[in-house]
Amino acid sequence: MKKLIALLLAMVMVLGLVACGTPAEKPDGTEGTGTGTAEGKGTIAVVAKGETHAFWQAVKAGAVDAGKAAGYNVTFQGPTSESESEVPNQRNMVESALNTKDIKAIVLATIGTGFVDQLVAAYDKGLPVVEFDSGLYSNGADITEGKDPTIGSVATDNKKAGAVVAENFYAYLKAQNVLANGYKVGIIQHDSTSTGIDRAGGFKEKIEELAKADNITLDINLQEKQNNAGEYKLGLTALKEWGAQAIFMTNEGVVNEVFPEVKDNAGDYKEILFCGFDAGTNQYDWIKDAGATCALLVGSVAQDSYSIGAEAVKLAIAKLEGKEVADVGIGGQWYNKDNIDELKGKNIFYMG
Amino acid sequence: MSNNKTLTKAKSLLSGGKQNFVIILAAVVLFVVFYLINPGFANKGNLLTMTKALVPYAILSLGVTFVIATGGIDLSIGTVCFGSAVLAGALCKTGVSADEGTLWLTIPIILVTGLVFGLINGLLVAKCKIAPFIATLGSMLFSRGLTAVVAEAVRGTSSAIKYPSTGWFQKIFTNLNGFPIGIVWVLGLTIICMVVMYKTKIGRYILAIGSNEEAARLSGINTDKYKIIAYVICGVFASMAALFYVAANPSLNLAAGNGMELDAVAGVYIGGTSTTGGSATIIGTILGAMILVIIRQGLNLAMAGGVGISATNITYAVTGIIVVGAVMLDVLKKKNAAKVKIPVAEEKKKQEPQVKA
Repeated sequence: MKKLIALLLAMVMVLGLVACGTPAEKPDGTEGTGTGTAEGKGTIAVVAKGETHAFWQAVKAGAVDAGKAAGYNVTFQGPTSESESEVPNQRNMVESALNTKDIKAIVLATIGTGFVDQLVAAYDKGLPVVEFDSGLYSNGADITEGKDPTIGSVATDNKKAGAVVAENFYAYLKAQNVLANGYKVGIIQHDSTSTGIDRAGGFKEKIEELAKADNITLDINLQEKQNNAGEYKLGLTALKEWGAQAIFMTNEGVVNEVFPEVKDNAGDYKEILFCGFDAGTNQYDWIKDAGATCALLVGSVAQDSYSIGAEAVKLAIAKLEGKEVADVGIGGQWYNKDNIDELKGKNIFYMG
Repeated sequence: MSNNKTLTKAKSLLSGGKQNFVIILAAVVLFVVFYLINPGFANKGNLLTMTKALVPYAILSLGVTFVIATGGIDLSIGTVCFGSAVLAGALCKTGVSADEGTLWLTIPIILVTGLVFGLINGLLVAKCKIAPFIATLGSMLFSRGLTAVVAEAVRGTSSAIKYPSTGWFQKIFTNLNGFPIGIVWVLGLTIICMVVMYKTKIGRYILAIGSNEEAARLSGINTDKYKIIAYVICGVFASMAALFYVAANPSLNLAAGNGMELDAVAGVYIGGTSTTGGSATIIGTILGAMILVIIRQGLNLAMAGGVGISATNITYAVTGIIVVGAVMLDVLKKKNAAKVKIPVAEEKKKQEPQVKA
């Protein structure tokens, strides 16, 4: 008898928890129920590589807003960490998306392989799958030939984002009247994967193009590095010795190594103007310093996570409404001391 | 007479029948609740996914039941499971295509790796007399680190190990043209485990050790040997689980897999195997693993609406409650049993002085 009572108590506790989490209420109406009473034209399920990190929160906000604007209900799920050991959890989430009532499309970024059956099931159900962020892991190794549900992808276009840095940075240099023939611009590239190459390349091409239009020839020095075990600092020293007047850092890893060095030896770097990429506490502090104690970080580009979420859902909706669809590349969002707090509020800039 | 014998035989195989009934009831109730919250829960695709998800955990749980039955614990099964697959993948140079590397060779390497780690655990516990918790905590970290170091050294990179997503490996271990073949393996292994646990010397000695190690030793059982056997069985099952895990999740981080052991151990406790050893229920273990899968996926579907709460985190909380609840049942059961014994013992005490007088 006692056993039964204990069991009943356990059950009540479980039910209590389930009930707490049951999405019966929608206080602000921005989040759908996804479990049955979908309103409007149906449900689009987003399964991301994470859920709690500020980056994913911004992706989620973009996705939900885009769905709402077009009359679709958007659900958002992601595992607690981006480790491949979370694949089974993420697969369960894709499965629950497939079984959601009124499901019309799935927006997916996988953290590992092992989604063969779910992708075939999506194809069989006629559900379009949009890849976003880095899309399906390992270049579509999970795709079964002839049963491919993917219709397109939405991700940061690093080349485009590098160009966004160049445009804004060049405008600043021009306004400061420091540009001249042979102006020395250094780049510290964080690695030799396509991410590093595209960011550095996009920046270099754009800034050269802009300078050329003003009849200026820039002197560019590219420091290609591999990792953050002190290599970026070496790149920085090399650029200082070379006489760099401006430096672009291609990711937060570079900024994290360069900032302390620049701060500790403020006198040595005082004259150099910096610009960066990605977000993080160091970039925040550096931007906020605004040249008071050390060299100036003019601005930086953050991945536009809100637009990634919004565009991915829009792509799915376009397909559902019978429109032509094509892959979307998202540039980045330029920030400086004027708009960094505003972007922080939108989760596009995060401290991480 | 012979009828009675078969009945007791069947009863001993299905030991813990009453508790199993309670667990089955709990599983059914949970199933219905989750179905009511989201009818998609009972869809064929979802049931298939749950069945496939059950397989590696069920096999891990089966193996560790033997160790728990000796009164021990094995915390290394998660990392041994992951690590053996990482090691084999690195050595055999597997890739996303089935043509890359020597895929078949991974199977013996995985199984041998599990056997070796099981043997190490067994020797540490039985011969070096190190507490199972400490010994297997050590081998958890060791297996996790060592396999990653070897993989990194062999491949020159710490990127994820990849196995093919489709091909004969899947046909054998997870998906035979749509049929979740893994469940057949689980059934087979369950029967083997039941026979070993209840019908062979190995199982009986393991249970005897768990019940009272000193008494077992004094009655002539080579306790060290049978303890080692229990850990070896556990290690081999952990690596066997790796085959099914990899077939379903063909990309593996180096140095991961920690956390899996706790799910597996939780399944065993929910199933009703005694936390202090001496009694074990194989069917209960499978049912316990099933309950965990139902909860995990049920909550996933229930939370699919994006209420801003991570289903994974709720799963942790609920699993915690259920594990403690299940062990509480075990404690209550023992307490009730003790209540019956006390008066008898007291009566004896009363009688003793009379004899002396």
